[in-house]
Amino acid sequence: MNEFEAELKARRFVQEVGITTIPVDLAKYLAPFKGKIAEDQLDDDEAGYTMTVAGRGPLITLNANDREARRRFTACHEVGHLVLELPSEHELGPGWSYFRRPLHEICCDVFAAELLLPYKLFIAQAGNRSLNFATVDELRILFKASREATASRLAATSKMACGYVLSEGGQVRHLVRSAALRAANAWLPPGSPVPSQSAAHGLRVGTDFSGERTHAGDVWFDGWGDVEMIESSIFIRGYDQTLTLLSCADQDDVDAISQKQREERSDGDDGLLKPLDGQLPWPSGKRRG
Amino acid sequence: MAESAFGAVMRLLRERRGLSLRELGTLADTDHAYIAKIERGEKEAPPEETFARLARSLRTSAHEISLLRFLGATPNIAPDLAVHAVGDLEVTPELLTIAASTVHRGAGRPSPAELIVRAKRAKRIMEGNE
Repeated sequence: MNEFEAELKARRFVQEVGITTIPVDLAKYLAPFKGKIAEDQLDDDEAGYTMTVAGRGPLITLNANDREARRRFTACHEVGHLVLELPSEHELGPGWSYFRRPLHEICCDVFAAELLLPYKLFIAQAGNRSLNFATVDELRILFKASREATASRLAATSKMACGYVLSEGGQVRHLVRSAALRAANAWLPPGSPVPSQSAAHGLRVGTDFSGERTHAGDVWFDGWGDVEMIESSIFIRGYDQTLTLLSCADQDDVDAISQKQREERSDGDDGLLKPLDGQLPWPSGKRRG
Repeated sequence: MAESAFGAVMRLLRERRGLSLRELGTLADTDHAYIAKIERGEKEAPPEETFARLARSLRTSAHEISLLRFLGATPNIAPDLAVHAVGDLEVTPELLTIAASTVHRGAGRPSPAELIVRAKRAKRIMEGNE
């Protein structure tokens, strides 16, 4: 199981269940399993759990102390365990962090995001809206989802070259890219420092208060100096996290980057076979001695 | 090999009676090394005849015998959960099965006692009694 398979299975599941309205009615996801959802006062380090009663079905219990968006995500994550038939793997690290997060749990997170923000319904709402946190906030209210999940979804489903960066403690945790940004090979290694010229860094160290900045693309991505990039960041002090949306001011700049990369690749073809020119390479006129 | 729930309960019952492995082996007419391997989880639950001799020698209650039979046939129960069940007469194999089915979300892990409380609640809710 990988993230891509989890995403595909989630889309199929959403379709089978017949989700057509938002916010998604989670009971519909439990119906195929005859499952139920309950709430209980749990410790902060426990978002929820599932217990299965033989002959009856699974009971998903959520931490009543969590925000509604988180409870909904947890419920969908647990449905992920049921549908994907993946055992729990939380022992390796804290559940809130992507650092050292086990693959099973990442797959269930991907699955949960699709259930909470179904692709077709999300696209219908997100449309051509601007990529900023005002849009994220409008959408997350509509879908009753977290800001993180919604921002991630907004970037991933955009037709424009854009991305969403989640950073923690001044380091990049992960980058979610739109298809256009992936095609242009924009990349940020997890663990790399948040760029010092970025608005995200400014918010964190207290030298920026708007979180909005337009700068050269190479502030975030190597070799992107010719691209004008619009950054929209917010800082969550309690978790020392910065959430960043990056978009390109002019799509043509991104196309130029892609073209340049293609040219660089074709210039470096040493060692490859020569293009066919209709001339046979033999007989060469040379004889072996 | 990791300790088994069956072995952990056997050890608890033996120690509760204050018997050494050799003493239990003599009482139950069973090789003490074999009993040690059962306790360590290196051997599965013994055949019925041996089980009956061991249970008699350990003076097990009906609850404990029922629990041991269940643990012998159900290898996925956590040893600490099984040990807790020995002292709680309300813990049935059904509750143990429900508790053992738990899939956690988050790093927190409840105690065996809390797991049983949750299993009881899950049973009530799923049966429509809460």
